[in-house]
Amino acid sequence: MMPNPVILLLADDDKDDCLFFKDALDELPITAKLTTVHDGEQLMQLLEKEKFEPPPPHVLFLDLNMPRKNGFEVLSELKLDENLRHLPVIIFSTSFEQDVANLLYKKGAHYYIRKPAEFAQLKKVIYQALVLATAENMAQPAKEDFVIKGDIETTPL
Amino acid sequence: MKTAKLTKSISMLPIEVVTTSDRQSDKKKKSDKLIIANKELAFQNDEKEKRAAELIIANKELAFQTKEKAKRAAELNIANKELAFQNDEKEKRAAELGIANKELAYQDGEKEKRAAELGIANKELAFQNKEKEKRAAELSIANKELAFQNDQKEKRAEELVIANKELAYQNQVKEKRAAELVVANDELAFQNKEKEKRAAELNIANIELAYQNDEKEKRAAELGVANKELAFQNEEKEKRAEELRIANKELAFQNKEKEKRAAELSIANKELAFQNDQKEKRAEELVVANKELAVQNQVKEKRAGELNVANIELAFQNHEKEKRAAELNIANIELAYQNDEKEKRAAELIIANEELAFQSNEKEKRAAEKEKRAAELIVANEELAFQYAEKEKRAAELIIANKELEFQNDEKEKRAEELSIANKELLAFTYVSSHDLQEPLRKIQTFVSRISENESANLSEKGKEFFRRIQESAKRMQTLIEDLLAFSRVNTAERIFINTDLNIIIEEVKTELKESIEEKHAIIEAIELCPVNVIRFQFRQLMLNLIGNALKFSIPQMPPHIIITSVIETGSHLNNEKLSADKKYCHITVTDNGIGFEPKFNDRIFEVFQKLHDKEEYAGTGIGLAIVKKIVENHNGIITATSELHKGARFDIYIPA
Repeated sequence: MMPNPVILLLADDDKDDCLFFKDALDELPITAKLTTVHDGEQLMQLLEKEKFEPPPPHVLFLDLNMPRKNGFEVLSELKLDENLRHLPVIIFSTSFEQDVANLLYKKGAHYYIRKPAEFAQLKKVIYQALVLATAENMAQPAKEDFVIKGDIETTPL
Repeated sequence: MKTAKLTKSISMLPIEVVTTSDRQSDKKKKSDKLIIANKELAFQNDEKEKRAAELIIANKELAFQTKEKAKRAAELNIANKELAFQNDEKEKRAAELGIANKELAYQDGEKEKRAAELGIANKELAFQNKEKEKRAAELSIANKELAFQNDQKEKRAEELVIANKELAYQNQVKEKRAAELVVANDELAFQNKEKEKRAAELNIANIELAYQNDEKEKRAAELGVANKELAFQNEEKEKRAEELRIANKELAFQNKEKEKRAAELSIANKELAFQNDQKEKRAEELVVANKELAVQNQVKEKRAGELNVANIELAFQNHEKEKRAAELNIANIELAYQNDEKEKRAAELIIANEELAFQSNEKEKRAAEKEKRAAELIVANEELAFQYAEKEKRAAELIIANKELEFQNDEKEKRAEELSIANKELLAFTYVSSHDLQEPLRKIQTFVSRISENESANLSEKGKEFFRRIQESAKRMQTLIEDLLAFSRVNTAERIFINTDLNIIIEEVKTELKESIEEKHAIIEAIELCPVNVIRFQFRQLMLNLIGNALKFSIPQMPPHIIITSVIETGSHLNNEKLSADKKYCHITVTDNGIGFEPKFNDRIFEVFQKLHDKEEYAGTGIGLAIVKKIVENHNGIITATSELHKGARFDIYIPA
């Protein structure tokens, strides 16, 4: 079951997308505590123990294209950090390329969400991702399940 | 002695005459003095008696003298006989001299003959010398000609050397060139080696030729010197012959002079004989007239003195003649020696001529060899020239080809550079498309969708309809961006060929198109699909686009029927001229029963952004088939489309197996 509240961390430099994400989250039937940062450096500073307000986040939504430190760098650093390597990372990006997706899976990302155009679809993929990420004991899923398309009926939205 | 006595007796007579006259004058003085006249007369009588007695004595003395004269005449007779004998001896001597002169004349004649023979021999010699000179002149001309030919050959050799250098230089250039040309390299390198070999052979041949030319020049120079020497000797001989001729003439002249002299001597002898006869006559007359005789004796003595002188002169002349004869002898010996020398010289000349002839033969041989060699060289040169010309042609062709190639390479490089730039731009475009373009579009779509969802109650029907149109346009734009992205990825993405079962790809595609397939009740048949070596994700895209098109362009109210086949065949069995007849291909067909298109669009449909239908009728970007064609090309294959309007379409793909 999903924690209550579910503690989420969003790293995205796009303010609109941050707004969409918050709105979508608000409309979902869950209790969430969202913290937003706008670049990779901020993210990493926040994740360092002393600075991060406990409790630790359950899931990280990570945009790829960010200033100062991009999503790839962040992912690599997290996987090298003993305390942060198990934090589920859900890639949250406008673009989708299979090669890039393959690379990210290899690097240890749990899921990949291509930001949808429809707001309703956005809610779907966020919810599905949260369900999957919190339900599977933080283990990386099978590769074919890496990309979340919001096509699985997980909740009566 | 007898002559001396004669002279004494003659001188006594005048003294007697002078003494008688003195006594007569004394008588006259006594007659003048009468006193003494008688006495004187008596004395005169005495004196007369004395005188008579003296006259008697004188007569006796005269008689004695007459006797003495007779004795003397007898002695003269004997002397005359002796003189006659001497004259006979002289005549004999003269006759002997005559014979000797004749002999001398005969010898002169012989000498003249000999001189004439020598003259002929000299003429012959002169003729031979002329012939030799001619020959020498001919040889000189021949030598000059030879020297000229040698010069020509040397020139030719120099030209060949220059040509070889030029060739070597060109070879270097060509070698450089060959290094640039990977394909032409081997052939050119081989030709260059051949050329170098050939050039080396020619070089050796040239050196040999130059050496032979040097030898010939030396030989010609030696011959020139020998000819000059020969000419000089000939001149010397001619001079000598001329001198001999003059000497002979002189000799002949002297002989004539001698003959004249002999004749004169003969006449002088005859005169002498006649004079002797006259003297005998005279001697007889001397018996009567002593005084005359005495005078005549004086004359004779004179004459005898003269004869003596003449004899001395004759002896001197004989001596001179003997000397002359000895000189002539010496001259003859000398002449003979000279003739010997000349013969020797002639023999030497004959030998020299033979040697010369031999040398000439050698030269001719040499010249023949040279000509042969020259002919061979000419042939070799012609061959070389031909090869050279061929090579030059080839080189010119290569140069042109290289230029063309260079130009093409330049063009290609330019093109590659341009393409590289274009690719970079495309990559940038891809990035922009995939992210920066998509992001604002997506946000528009999101905002629109949120308004449509949450604010529809506040919108009029027209407002709702406009929002629906915005969403459609935005959707089209999204599709376009995604298709463009796919198209550019086909060009830039990594190409890994994997032997793939087409069935798997088709299944994946079917899964992806599941909604559409179900919606249209489409039937997709895959028959006899063979494994094929492909870039997997690209081929998946290819099948997706083709099958997607078949579904999209179906005839309304008619379920799409799509048949996919694949089989491996050799090019010769496939009806396409672009394929190699001996290669194997995987032949894939995708056939549908859709709306098809007019055959005139067979090629055009593969061009990017080409659309045959209104976007209201059939949505699309006109990129799908361009991607398909690109993917087939990435697999080194070809794709063709055949169709007729409303009769379905068929796509044939040939990929090397």
